[in-house]
Amino acid sequence: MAVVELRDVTKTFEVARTKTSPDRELMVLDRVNLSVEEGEIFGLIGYSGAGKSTLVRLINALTPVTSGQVLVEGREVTALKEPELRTLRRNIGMIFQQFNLFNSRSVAGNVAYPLAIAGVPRAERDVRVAELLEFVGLSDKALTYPDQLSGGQKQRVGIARALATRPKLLLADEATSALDPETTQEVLALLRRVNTELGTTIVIITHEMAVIRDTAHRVAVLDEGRIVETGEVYDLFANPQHPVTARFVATVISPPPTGETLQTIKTHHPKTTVVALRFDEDRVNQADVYRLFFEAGIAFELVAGGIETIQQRHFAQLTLALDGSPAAIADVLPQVSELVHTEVL
Amino acid sequence: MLQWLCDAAGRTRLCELVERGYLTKAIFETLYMVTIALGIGVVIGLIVGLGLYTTRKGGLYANRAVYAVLNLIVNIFRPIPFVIFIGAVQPLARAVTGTGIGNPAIIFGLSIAAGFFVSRIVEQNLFSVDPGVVEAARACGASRPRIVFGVLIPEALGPLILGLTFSFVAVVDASAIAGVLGGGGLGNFSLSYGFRQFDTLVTWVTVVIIIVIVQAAQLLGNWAARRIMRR
Ligand SMILES: Nc1ncnc2c1ncn2[C@@H]1O[C@H](COP(=O)(O)OP(=O)(O)O)[C@@H](O)[C@H]1O
Ligand SMILES: [Mg+2]
Repeated sequence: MAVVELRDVTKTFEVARTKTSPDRELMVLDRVNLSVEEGEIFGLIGYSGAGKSTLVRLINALTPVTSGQVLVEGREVTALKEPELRTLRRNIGMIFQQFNLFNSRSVAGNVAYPLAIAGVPRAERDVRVAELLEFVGLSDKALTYPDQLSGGQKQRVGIARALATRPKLLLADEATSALDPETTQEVLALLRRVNTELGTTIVIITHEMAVIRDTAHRVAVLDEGRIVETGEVYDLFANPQHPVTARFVATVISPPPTGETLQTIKTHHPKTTVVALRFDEDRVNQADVYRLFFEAGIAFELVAGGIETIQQRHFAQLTLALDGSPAAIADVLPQVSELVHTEVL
Repeated sequence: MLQWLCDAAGRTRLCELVERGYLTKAIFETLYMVTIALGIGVVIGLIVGLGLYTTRKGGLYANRAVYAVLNLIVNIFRPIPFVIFIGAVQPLARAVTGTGIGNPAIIFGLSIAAGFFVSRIVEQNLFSVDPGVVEAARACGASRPRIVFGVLIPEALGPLILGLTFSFVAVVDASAIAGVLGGGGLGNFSLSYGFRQFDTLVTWVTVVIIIVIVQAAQLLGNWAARRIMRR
């Protein structure tokens, strides 16, 4: 059973009439369908304003849907009343871009808050808080106040607070967007540990494809309120279907060169044929391809590209300048294209 | 200290006023009026301020009608100059305290005026709380009263105390007007024995005493706010 399921979910906001837009209804999510399976890290990527935060806030009903159904562990959230919603929210952890820690409470106080809300006795609370701070590596900061912590430490407190009631589901809304690259890696590593060691299902929202690459198993691409593509992260990287997905992939793996860049390459490598190869190493080794060139007496130079490891699988997008007789090249390219996706530039 | 002032300045009318206990009485009357009015004003202000903040669009208890009514009342009454306000609420004061003049009526008017004043201060300071922390508390499954008393107020406490200090000064200011309206206190003292009798020394001593009271309150407020905000 899916941990989270959205069925034909639509969300509109009432916006004040202005001179430029007579519209009073702003459609932010348009018939969204998705399901998050138990134990996975599900990524949701989209540009700013795509509706990601709105979508994630429907899951713990911080915002009500306009139409459609939201199911969490099979229960229809959209049908729950306020007291039941509070119980539901106690069993869903949430972390935020700006951390949203309580500045009036110490680190331990922040982590203890959801436990107090859930009515856990004080003695039990203290034990659990110590356990959580140990897990996120902040045992020595228990009595510190949030304003004395670095961004990365704040987010680790946020994670400890979100996990306090042992939720099966964790929602992360741009959890690393306010952090520097190094701290981002630290926090992502912690989230992966939460997933593998505690078995927590995680929904990660981001506008950075690198975050998806480094954490998610499956991903949905949200564009202007619509899910335009969804699937295994590896498949989206290896073979993006929608232009928006392709643009996100291009932020991590340089696509084949075009325009000026291509011209520069061609000027630097005159009398060569420039080809772009897309390796999906589940199916083929680079060596097999290079052997074909070698046997045909074609020399080549690597002029652009990148190699990524996604979910322990390799993926490469490489551009080669082939140096050999036109006849030999024309002869070998059909063989190459049987092995890998080939494009002559 | 008053005795010392007398000796230093020579035998003036001020010494007579001090020795008869008029000055001390005036000081205590002012402190008494201000404390009671601010006490009641803070209670009213917290309730109305919280009401304004929570019933606003997108608030925890969003309710357009309640907000509109509260906002209208505060907007109408808060800017009225205190001297006129006291006259305006005189019938109400008479109904509640049994008299339309003197200290009780002044305290009544002062309390209401302080209430409106503090309402806006409370509302503004609650606005300074990051909506994100309210969101975090909601995401933890906290009920609305628990969010208000367990998160919202503690998060705003530092600025709230500074705001209350500011209100104290405003109430001291307004309380002096009691002097022209038949009430007691330092305003009356300085008017009766200073201004009307051309005794500048008396007026200036009152000024100094008020400065001392206000500064003491300010220091205390700053100290408490700093402690709470740990800065
Ligand atoms: N409470 C609201 N009222 C009106 N419009 C809103 C509200 N919340 C979000 N929006 C609008 O919905 C769109 C999507 O917002 P959001 O979900 O925050 O996007 P994202 O998180 O992907 O950046 C934006 O155009 C935003 O202005
Ligand atoms: Mg967002």
